[in-house]
Amino acid sequence: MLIRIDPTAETDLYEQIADSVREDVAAARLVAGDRLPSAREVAQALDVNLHTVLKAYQALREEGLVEMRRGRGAVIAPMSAAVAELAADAGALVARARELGLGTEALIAAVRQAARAPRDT
Amino acid sequence: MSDTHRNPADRVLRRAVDVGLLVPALLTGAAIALQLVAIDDLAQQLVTHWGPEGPDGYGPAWVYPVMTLLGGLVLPSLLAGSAMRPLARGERSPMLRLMPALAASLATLFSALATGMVLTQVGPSFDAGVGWVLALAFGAAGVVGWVAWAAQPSQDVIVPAALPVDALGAGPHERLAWIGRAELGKGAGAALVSACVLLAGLAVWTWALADVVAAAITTGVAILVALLAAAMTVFHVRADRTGLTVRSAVGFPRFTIPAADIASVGVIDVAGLAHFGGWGVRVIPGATGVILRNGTALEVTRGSGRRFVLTLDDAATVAAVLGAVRASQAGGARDADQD
Repeated sequence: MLIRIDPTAETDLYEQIADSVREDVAAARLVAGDRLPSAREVAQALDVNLHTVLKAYQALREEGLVEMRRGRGAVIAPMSAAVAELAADAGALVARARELGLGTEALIAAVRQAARAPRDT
Repeated sequence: MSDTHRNPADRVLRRAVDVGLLVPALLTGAAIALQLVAIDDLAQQLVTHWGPEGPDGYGPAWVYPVMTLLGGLVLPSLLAGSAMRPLARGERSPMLRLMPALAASLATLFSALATGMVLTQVGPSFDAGVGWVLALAFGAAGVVGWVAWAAQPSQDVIVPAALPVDALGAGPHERLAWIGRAELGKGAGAALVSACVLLAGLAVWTWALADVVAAAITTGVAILVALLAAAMTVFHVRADRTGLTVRSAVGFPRFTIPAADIASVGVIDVAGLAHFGGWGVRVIPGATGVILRNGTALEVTRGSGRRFVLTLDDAATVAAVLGAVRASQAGGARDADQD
């Protein structure tokens, strides 16, 4: 599993770690049942605090992407399949945004806005 | 890896075929013919096993020619055969020279053992005892193996070049890490597990027979094989700013290549038997391999020129990470020089 962080970026480190996992799930590089490396090992490899990694795993758990299993550590949850399923839709959305000359940040803002807006149906 | 200094390709291959396929075929052919001439009745009972106090196992006579065929021709042909395709492709390595020699040696061993054992029992004039048969067979196998090695041209290492992998683009402050596992192929894993179960069963059975010495030995062997199997089954792999760490799930063996010692990284298609003389943790001239299956592997060349090869599904990603780590190290060193 590839994890990349940039300590100088504005996003919190734990969010960046969680994003690495989310991206792998979206690309189906990680599928349900795959084991995540231990938080201690990730912390050592990235030279960050253990609690930062634990916080990232906790966030993923709250989203339902990851389950904690006794003796097996953090495992990708069945819900991940739904995320991977969205990948095609996301690709279409990005293509449409490019057509309109919008950058990724603008697209993300639009998606956030849509998620916040009350449902009108 | 250059084409300018290539051995005459067909001579190397021809010698390998002679030594690794033709010699075993001739030897086993002659051995089986001799045995068939000596044995009157293929169904007659012959001694097939000797214990410390003399013969203690019997079987039908046809066991001997069958053993000669399997051990003297089939097994050696598989060994030698594994070297033929790489040789024909133009690959060269001491392993590819060793495989045919080993095949000739094995063929000699089995042919001599089986024929000697038959002749001590049914031959008209040859009754040297099984001890002499063993000594002669192993001696002959050693000599033939050596001659078979010497009869082949020496081979400088030419292995398929690793495909270079572009380093992962990373910002100056970005930190990259790849954490994962290298695992045994499914078939090999199943074979190892069944071997362990079989050995454990054998150990239990010998204890039940109350043969304490045999039981102690089989138990010891079972534990040893289980430990070795455990040590060779799963490896934890980590590529980060410090370099590459590969550690068996049981803690040993482990390999560490510091980032500063990485000269180049790439992805290579590895064939265990032909390139490393087998599977598992292999140390051969010029390379160390953690070879858990055939196929895609990560190749890291150290500053000394020594290669480290690890079979890994996602070798390309790991190579890209190590490439980026190496680049940032080089950049860091340059910055330090300027200060």
